[in-house]
Amino acid sequence: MTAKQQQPGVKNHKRRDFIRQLTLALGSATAAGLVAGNGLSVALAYSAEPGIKDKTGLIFTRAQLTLLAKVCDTILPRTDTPSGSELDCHGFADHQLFHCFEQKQQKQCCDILDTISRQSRHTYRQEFARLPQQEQRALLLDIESTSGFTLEDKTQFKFLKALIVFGYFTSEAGATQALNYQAVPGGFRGSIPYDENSKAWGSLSYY
Amino acid sequence: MKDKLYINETKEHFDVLVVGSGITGGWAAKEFCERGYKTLIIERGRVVEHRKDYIGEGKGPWQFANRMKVDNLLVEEQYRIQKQCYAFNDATKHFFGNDRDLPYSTETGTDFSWIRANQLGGKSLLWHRQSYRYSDFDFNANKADGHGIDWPIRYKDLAPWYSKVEKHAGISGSPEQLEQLPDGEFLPPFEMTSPEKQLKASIEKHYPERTLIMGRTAHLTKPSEFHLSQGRGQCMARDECQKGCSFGGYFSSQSSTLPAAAKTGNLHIAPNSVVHSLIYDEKSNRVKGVRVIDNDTLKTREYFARVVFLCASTLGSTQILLNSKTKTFPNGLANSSGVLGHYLMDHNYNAVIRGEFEGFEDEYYSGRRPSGIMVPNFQYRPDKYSKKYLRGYAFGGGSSRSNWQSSGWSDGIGAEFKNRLTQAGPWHMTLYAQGEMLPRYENSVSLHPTKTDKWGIPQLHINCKWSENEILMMQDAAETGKEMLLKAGLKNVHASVTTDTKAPGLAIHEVGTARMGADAKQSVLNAYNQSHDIPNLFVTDGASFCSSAVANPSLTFMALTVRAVDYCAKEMNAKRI
Repeated sequence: MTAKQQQPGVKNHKRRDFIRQLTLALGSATAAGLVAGNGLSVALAYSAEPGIKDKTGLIFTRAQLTLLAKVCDTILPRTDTPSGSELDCHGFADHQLFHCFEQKQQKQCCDILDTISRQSRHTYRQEFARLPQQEQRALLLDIESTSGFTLEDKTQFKFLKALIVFGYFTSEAGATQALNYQAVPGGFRGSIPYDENSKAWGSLSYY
Repeated sequence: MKDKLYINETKEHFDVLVVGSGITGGWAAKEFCERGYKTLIIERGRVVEHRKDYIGEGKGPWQFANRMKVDNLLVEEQYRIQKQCYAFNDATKHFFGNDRDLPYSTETGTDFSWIRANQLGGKSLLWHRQSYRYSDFDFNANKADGHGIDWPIRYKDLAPWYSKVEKHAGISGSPEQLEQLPDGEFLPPFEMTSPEKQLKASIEKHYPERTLIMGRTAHLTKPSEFHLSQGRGQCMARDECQKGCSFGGYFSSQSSTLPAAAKTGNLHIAPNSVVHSLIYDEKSNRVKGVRVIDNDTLKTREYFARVVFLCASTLGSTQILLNSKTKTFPNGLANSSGVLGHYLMDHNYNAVIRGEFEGFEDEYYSGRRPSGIMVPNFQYRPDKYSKKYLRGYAFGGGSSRSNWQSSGWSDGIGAEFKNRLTQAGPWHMTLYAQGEMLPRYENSVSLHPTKTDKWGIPQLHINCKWSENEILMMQDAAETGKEMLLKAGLKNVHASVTTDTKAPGLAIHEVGTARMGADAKQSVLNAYNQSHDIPNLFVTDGASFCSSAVANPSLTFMALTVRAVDYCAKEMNAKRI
């Protein structure tokens, strides 16, 4: 891994150190305000980058990220719309966990990825990423039906899955291509026709 | 004109000082300016310009660092209380107060979530915009059951002023001829969905004294020529109002009252001016002006005028009065009665009922309705009260089809699961109880004896909790709402009560603490929101309320304010002020 590839993680650790130092100097409200107010937070805004698979995450190891990319594609495979990893849901999950969730939740996501990895080697004698798609799917279905997995595994997995789904449908392609997006509806109508070929709204009031 | 609009140091003596620029302050300033009075708005926060400063507006979730969520670190350090508000997110956070700079304490064993919006426009940028008239059953409630003192006004006193503010602000709704919820000057209502119409029919069939109506809300569903001439346009049904609305689709100080006031040339605004206390002249028994501490530099300055209107929010106005101690008023200005700070109320929003409709799979809706349905209070006078508790509640709510936000938690892996997430799911109906909170002396605010904020102002100490009446009311509301949904054929109906987990404050309908009343020994303000003690001092925000009533209070803030200005102007003309 090159130094360049490590940058996002380093930058974010620095960000916390930077805020801590500023806090000592100015008081934390001012410090965080400065950080929020200048370009730094915007610079750190998460956006999809090709090749993120090769990077170390903010929460996840490189191996966990590679595994997570496959998990994303198993949950949300490519159809007429992009797959989970094509919209970088794995990178999103890493970034979002770091910025918006507690350590406990970060840890449970790492734990379930390790469990998946361990179970794949145990049951299929193979890394999850190398399994045929059918077996990848079978393994994740087993978590949800708690066959060979504990209830805690299922709870951890459901949390990670919902985070991936959130990442998918709040991405530009997810919100505007996989769903219908109305930035400016122009008015409200209480009843319009809907059939099996219709799509749900991707534009929501609250996320 | 713009360079004269915002001022800092000045020697000028104004006709009127209006403290605060939110819903009430905006109205007070507009009304005085249009009558020709030189008016200074004193705003503790920064300037927020209409359109220009709506930095979160019109962006998709992917354009935010954390897809609309707010960074942990920032929340932890600055927004631990504000984050509880449903409208707090990465696109709106800059319109919420900074908890770190705005500390307050609460009595042991109590809690209060004080939501702040200290900038030009105040909470008018963030409000939920539901707009209802109070009825005589509301104004009579305290007198009828003996809790709290009687309101010194009745519906007829306020009705013409409701009409005036409704025409200017633009309120959409349907006339219903309900005695407990008077009709107003309405723009067309938003549409109901088919499931909502079905629930309405069922409620009216099973409960002849109940109905379900479209919520009344301060949105321009069909702007008048007058609204268009103000630079406002039709509501686009984005329901992202709290980011700010460049269309001026909803009422805010920025979209409606401040431009009208500025147009007269009589308006001046002193931003970043935190009012420390009022300047009181013992000899003449008049307030002369205000002492201000600069929000940024912490330097002090003073502003002077003939009249002072406190429109600084319920707790803001009371905090200023409490901190204005003089020889005559050692316990806070205009507090000869001793009730200043007491009888704090919020609304009791503590029962939620949710159920699933069968059918209507071939129907959807278009646009995001910035309003919901309302089941008006049906226990609005003592003979209709429950036997278990006093007063009543309404239900707000609405229907929608579920989406990936809930189905993302369901079982499923792969293409079929992914496809399901892109489909509109079953129809759901949610009802939220909106109950009255009784006025109680014990629910109060005072100045903390030692703690101060960064401006050196004593912190507010809040002692407020739900009483048995509020708890019993919500238990009943949960059961009643559940029964209404079940009778309409909904499935999987669940109800929850949150009085034991949710502290007062989060309805953001805090009222009381400087109540009106006929008797100067029991109240701070008279029937015109004028101090009993000091004739040139008025408080026209929620602090003046004698009871919380059931409906949302903001429209009544507006009507009380314009009525008070009219009265004050007449008193000024007659040289009594």
